[in-house]
Amino acid sequence: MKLDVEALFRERLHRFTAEVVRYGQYMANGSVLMVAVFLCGLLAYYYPSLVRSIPAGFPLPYALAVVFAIFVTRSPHRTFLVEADLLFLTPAESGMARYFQKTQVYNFAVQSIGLFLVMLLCLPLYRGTLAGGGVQGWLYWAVPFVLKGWNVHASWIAMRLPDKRQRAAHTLGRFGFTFFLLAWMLGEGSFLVWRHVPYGAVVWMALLVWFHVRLQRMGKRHAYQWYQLLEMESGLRRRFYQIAGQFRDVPSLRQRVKPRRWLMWVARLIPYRTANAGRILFLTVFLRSVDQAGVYIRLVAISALLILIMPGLLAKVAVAVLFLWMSASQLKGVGTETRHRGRSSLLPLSEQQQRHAAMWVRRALLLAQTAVSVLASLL
Amino acid sequence: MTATALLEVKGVTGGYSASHTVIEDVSFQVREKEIVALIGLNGAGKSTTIKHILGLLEPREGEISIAGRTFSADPDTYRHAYGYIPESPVYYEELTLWEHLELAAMSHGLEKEVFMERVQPLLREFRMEEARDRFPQQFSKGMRQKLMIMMALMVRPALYIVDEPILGLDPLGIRTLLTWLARCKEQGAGILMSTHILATAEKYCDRFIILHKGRIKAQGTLEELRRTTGMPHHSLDDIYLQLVEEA
Repeated sequence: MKLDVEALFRERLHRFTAEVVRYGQYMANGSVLMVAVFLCGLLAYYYPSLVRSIPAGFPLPYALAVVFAIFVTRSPHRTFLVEADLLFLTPAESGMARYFQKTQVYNFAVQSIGLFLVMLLCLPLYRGTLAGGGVQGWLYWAVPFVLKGWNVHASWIAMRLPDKRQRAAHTLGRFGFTFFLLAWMLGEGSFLVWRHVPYGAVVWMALLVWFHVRLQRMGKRHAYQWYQLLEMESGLRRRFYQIAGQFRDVPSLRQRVKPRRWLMWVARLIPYRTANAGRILFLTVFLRSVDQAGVYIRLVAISALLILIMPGLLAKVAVAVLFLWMSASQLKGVGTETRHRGRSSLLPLSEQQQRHAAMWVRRALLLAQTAVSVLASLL
Repeated sequence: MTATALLEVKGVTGGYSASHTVIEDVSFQVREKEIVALIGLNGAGKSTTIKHILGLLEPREGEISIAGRTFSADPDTYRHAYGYIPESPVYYEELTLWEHLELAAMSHGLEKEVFMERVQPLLREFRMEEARDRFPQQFSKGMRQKLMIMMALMVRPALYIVDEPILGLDPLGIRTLLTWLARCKEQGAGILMSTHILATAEKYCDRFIILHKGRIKAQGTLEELRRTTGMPHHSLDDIYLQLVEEA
């Protein structure tokens, strides 16, 4: 029986789209979205004055080229692979080319949306200081997307490289290549021109030939690196769940853990006592969780920074309260993750003890944030 | 004088749902200073029996008590009364080996000095000293199993409930576990151990409960089993196969 990769791709894409729609609804309902809209409004308000404040001598075309090149070069590959595919799809490896073509198209489309938004955001900068009319305007919109397509294609082939360092070097090469062309385009052909010879273009041509030869060889010499494809897929999927997890509990979001030895003194502050077992447990679990503690630490840092730079006591208090509220809603998850997943029988802690301990940890963390906010406002 | 019953299972019938009975009219005791083996094929009801004893499933009929106390009377004291070593290790991904042991000691009400005194020999004998600051996620299955065993052994409860302890352990680990359990027994503990490995059971256990299709087929010491089956010189393995095949 022949594997119908078209149907397989449709089915996988459909399943993911259904998830996006489901979590999208939660996001649209969530209050975090309100905060995001508020911050966007703030940005829109200050943006024109920011554009005006750029000094005349600033090499804006090349700065824009760097920003665009980052977004054009970064081409992660969603493949919708699952672990069982290592067993079931690897025998059909040669037939998978068609499937992966489709995933490339998908990745190009999704990443182009992000690129488009970045370019839209930078348009006022471009319009305000550079010429940007006629053919040049068309080039502004066309070239990055053509380069994006090439980057998706080239990085897909480079995914066959078994060595991570080789892949990183390849990515760096692609970045240089992309930057050269973008700088040349945004600089209206003046990039690396010396005595009327456009060296930028010459270097770019040389790079293009080199890349072409390299990619041809890579495609022939190496097979798909299934484990790396799977690792990338699960990383990207986890990222999606993490974002969704800011709005809603995501059951498939397995907690990631970091040792964080530099932070563990905090948990050791709590003395050894039977009544403290639950508190130590939940605080340790919290401090080691990548997602929960990561978000909390970022919220504390950002709020401290904003309090420092905001003028007037009222604004400082408003920021402090807003961020405390965000932390509080984020910290609701403390303890729940630990209590579920069948681990509650590991230690003889009653349901009530666990609830109290989780509450205690949440309060302690909010108190710590308040202390940081007060300190920042006094500075 | 007979030793007092630590664990008393009296006429227990139960399972995962009301419509599906897994074990029927199961009765046995585990007394102080003895190791009792719970033997049965896959699906015989060993794990179900253990889940009822742990208070994770409620018997439809019958009663289970540990040191005279039932789960329904006082869940918290009941759960403190035994040490459980599960078949599949459960652990916190966020805690190191050492933190697991410390929290187990702390939540069971051990003094810090007692914990420090007990933890070193355990780490040494199970050869886990180098793993003390590592996370169970990076452990092999056998090492995770050792973590479960060490957590239970450190608390030194009066009753141990051990579910298939030998699978996944290396030969040295098996020997250390069985030596520790024998020592706990000498000090007065009662141990209920479910297992498939009959040769080990025969060597270390004092009594045997043979469970088949949810019912107790036979129970007693090896001598008693030999007498009731009329197989005077046979091993536990032979007796067991005879009992199960005739059923």
